Amino acid sequence: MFKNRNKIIIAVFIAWACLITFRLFNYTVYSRDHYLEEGNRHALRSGIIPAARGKILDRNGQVLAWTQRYNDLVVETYPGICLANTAVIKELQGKIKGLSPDKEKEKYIKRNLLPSEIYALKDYLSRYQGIRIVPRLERRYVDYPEVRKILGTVDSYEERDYGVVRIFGVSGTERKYDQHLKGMDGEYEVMQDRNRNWIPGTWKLKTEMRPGDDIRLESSLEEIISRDRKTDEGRKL
Amino acid sequence: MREENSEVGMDFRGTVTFPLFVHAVLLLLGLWGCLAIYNATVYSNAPFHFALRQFIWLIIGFACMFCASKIPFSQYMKHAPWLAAAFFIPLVLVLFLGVRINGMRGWYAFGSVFIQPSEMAKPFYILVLCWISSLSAGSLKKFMLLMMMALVWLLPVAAQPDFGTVIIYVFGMLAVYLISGGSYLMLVFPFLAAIPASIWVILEKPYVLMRLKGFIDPMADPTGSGWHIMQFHYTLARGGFFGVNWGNCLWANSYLPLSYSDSAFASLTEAIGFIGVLPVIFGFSLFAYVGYRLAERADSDFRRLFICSMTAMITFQAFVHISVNVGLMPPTGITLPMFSYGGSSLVSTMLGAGIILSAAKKEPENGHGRDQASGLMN
Repeated sequence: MFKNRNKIIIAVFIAWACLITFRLFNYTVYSRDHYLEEGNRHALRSGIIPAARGKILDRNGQVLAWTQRYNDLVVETYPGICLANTAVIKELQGKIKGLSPDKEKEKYIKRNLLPSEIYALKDYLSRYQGIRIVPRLERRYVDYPEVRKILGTVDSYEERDYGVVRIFGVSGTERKYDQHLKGMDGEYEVMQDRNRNWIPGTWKLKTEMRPGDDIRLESSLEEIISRDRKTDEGRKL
Repeated sequence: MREENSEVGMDFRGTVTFPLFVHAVLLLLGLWGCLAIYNATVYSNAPFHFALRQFIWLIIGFACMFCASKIPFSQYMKHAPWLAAAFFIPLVLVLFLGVRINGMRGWYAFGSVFIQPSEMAKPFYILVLCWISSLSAGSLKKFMLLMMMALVWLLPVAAQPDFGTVIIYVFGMLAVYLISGGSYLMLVFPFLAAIPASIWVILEKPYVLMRLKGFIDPMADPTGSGWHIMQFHYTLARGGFFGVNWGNCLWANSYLPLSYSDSAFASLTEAIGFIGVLPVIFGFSLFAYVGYRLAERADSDFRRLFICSMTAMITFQAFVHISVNVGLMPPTGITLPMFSYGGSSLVSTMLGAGIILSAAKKEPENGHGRDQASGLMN
């Protein structure tokens, strides 16, 4: 009896081992490419490195328009996995002064984070996928209305898939030389974990970012201002 | 030594004997396990932390195995109830004095050392079941006694709650019953009892249902319930035929939950591939076969029953772990003996192997064991 029962158990284990081997062969060899591709599709994320828009300089090299980078804190509050709850938001509000709900109250925003505030967020970012630091680029100009007329204006739109804001020229020099100023975005690829945190050592550059060219105007700042004033006086006369 | 081993019945060309073979295989598996743990934690802040601790446990485990194999098996038989009680009491006390890790109150903490009594008790649980089995000859009576004893042991384990270990304990009971000649018909009752128990578990613990759903259709919720299953598939695929080599297991380190314990086999596959893990599957199958051969040559039914049941339980645990990792079973949280991180599991496995070796040795007749074992295999 003992011998027979023991033989049955050994036979079951051998059959089980064969089944395991067969299954293992399927994943590691036979269907490997399919699962590799699927795994990469879930894990790899592409991102854009926005090209810094070029500066606009006067004839003497004085900067008239430039792009400045700011970092904003965004805390999503819609239901989902690993989102920050009310207690966490309160805790954050204690650390980050000025973190307040946006108009639709779907998220909390604090603009222009200080370096110390970014450091204070370190642990929260890896714990909750709803807490993000979003970079924002803003176009800045010298404070002369006469110059602004010449330089024109820019507008921006957000590419939601990549979470980046693109700036484009709408009028004046900004529009005329938009192709030169805007540069070319770079592209990277990185593996992300379940909470959308980047996995160290997996960041790869796919396309190098080329910053926009600087544009040098033929006139100096003073000339632009005086020419504009003369035009205004002429109009008045 | 050779004379003693040759009594066990197998002598490979007169030099390699079964006990030596078991020692060598367990040492190799243990060292391989340390390497696997290093591999699974190589990207962490302290890559040697777990591997070094496992190595220390391996040395302790070897000492336990050596000591356990030197104690005559007649002593284990004689003191089976007391030994079982000595390991059962901590199993109950851990519910009150233990610390909670990963939602389970199953460990005693001594500084930075954690002891899991449900792991340490396994060899003595089997021992007491074999003892119970030796007390009764009738199939029904034996079944009822085994069921009751198993229930007494299962309750504190289930209360932790550690359902993975519950599965192992249930299998241990069934193995003892079947190997000792129990009727197949009686097995219908535990299966019937398992139905309401399963419904209760599913209702009380929603994560169990989530795991089942994730197992049946992992792509339905790839970032939720299907996450674990999908990551097993991807990790195995990344390993391929030859593996990505030690220390390069990016997927196991980044995506596999508990890659050094619950997902040890998948993590190992990523490192050394299909060809590298085949010896692991073969090794556990061989372990079962060696147990079978040792049992065949043991000189009493009690010894045979213990050797077979203990071997079957260790092999079952290994195969359940591997089956979960290759997607044949839903995640259970069962570790891979000798490979997964955990001192209690390692020491318990080696202690069990030590008692198996002790049971396989021939002892001078003292009558006790033989008397008890009479009528065991009906």
